Amino acid sequence: MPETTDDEKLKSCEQTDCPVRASGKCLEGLEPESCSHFYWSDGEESEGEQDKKPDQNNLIRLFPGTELHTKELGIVTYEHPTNLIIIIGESFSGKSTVLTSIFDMFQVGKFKQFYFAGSYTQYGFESRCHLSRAPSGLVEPDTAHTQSIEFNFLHIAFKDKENLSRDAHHLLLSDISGERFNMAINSATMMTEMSLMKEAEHLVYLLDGEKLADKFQRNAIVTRANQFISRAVDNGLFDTDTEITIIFTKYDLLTDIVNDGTLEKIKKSFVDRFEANLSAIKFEVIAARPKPPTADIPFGFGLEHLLSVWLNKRKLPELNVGTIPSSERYFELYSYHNG
Amino acid sequence: MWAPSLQVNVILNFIRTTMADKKILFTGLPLTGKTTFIAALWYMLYNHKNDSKLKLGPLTGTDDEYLNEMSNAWMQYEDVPRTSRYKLAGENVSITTVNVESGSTVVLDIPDFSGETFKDHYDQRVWTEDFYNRIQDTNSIMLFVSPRQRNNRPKLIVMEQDLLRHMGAKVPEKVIDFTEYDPEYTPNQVKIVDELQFFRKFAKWRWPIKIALMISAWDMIQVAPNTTTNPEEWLKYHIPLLYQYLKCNGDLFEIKYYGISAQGGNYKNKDKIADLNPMDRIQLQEGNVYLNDITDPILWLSE
Repeated sequence: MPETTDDEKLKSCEQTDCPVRASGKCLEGLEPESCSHFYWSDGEESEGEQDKKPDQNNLIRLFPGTELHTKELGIVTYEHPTNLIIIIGESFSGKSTVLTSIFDMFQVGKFKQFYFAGSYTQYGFESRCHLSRAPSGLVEPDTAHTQSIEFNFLHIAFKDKENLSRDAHHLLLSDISGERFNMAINSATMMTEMSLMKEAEHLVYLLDGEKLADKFQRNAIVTRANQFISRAVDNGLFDTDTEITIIFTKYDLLTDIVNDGTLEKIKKSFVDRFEANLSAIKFEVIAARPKPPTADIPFGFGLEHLLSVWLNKRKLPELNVGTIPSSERYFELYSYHNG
Repeated sequence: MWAPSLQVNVILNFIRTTMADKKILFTGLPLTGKTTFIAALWYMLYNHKNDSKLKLGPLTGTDDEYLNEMSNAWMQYEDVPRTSRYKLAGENVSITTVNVESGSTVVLDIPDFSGETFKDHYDQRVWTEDFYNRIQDTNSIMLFVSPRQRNNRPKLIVMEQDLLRHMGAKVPEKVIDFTEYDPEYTPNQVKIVDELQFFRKFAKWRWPIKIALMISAWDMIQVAPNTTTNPEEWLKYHIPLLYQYLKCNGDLFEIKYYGISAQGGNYKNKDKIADLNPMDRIQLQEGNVYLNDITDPILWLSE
């Protein structure tokens, strides 16, 4: 084999996850040659890597690990009793941040009560979590804006760490774009197409705390929330069996409106308007990424409580399901297996 | 001299594997200590003492060249040469051993020495048919993780900044160098959990299956200031997602946690290690018990 010249040497790293070979950037954020894991390799390894590319004709396809489309939920629901959690709210209200922060909290072992028991969508979580991680290069955590106007789901299973012998709780958490929410406010047809909301074990509406804290934006976002719920009631998606939880996000920014009573007035306005139309309206607060985290409002504030609520089944009217439904409508199959 | 053809070797390997009483799958991401462990084990088996409970079975494979090269490097306090490691990428090796007490054979199966295939499973979401077929008769797993890998768990911006504030250091205000998502950035703990989930979904094993979770470079942990820990506690705090996943899936996995220093220390200070008897270089901890018998996890897995 001919000897390699200096020009042919490749940037390499002992840490397999370091992107230095592909991008020249060090995982540790250092100048590559000053990092203790860095080394120059000859060209042999990239050649070797090409040699071991698997034969595409003899491959076993594993589950993709990305978000699940509605027709793919069976991978979870056929095996386990599962709670469907539908999270709605306008753009930038924090829907995806809730999902990524839950996964991040498990990853750094910050939940006191729960242990991670598995997920068929780790790849989907990871791609969404990137902007909250140091390798992104960002100095403030962010979340990628969800593009899909269809319901997609991320799966997570967890157990109470004091009861590890019991079955895991399985959640399917929805991820849908804020634009889709706006379409539903403005169109009865678009609202009707969101009928999967009727199948939710827990229906969650996120209200952006940052906008609530801003007196110039407050009325507008509360009004849009009212419009959305009204539209859903008018189109028969919400009824007197529907229980909705309104979550005020970015709680660390709400100190002023908590102290002056504004937040309580907002809550009361929802109750007064919808208590006759819905089974219940509940309220929660979270601060997934407070700036900065404090002892009172730490990173992931309120998320563990949400999990403890979401693991419960809501009481549904008795259904008489005698045979396997022949319908291909995914939510009917979902109901059958989670009856 | 007669040299077995490739086909004959495949058949011999098949017979060795299928006739074995137990088969242990060695697995782990790249650079997690599999090679050093095997090098030390190979040395130990070749020079096995009369009181050893595990001995080498018949040497019928062509893998011995690799194993001897690794073991030589281990004996000379050197890293296994990188060129060899990359030659081994995709190579699969198996070692037949015999449990002296029971007389049963135990095959140590290493289908992916470099760990690159393991990594590819997460990135590409496929197994080769060869890998699928090879692992189906596995009875137990030896899974390696390394504390030297900085990406075992994620580095969250919010926690990194909190740490800087507590240290009184300046928190950066501008984007350092924005980088798009790449599966390469995925924490190792996520990749390992996914591999275990693939096994659960696609391996036709008798569950639960035993896993010896091997934390390599254990000497590095135990000499760190103010640390006296055991392997399970270490995993709980440093690779929490994997720890939680294993604890929650007790119906699938029976676990023992080992800290292993097969190298005996850092080769930068090899003068210290060189004074030791080669077998005394190996340090093994299970719970709060210290052992120097590298075969202990293998014997447990093969019970």
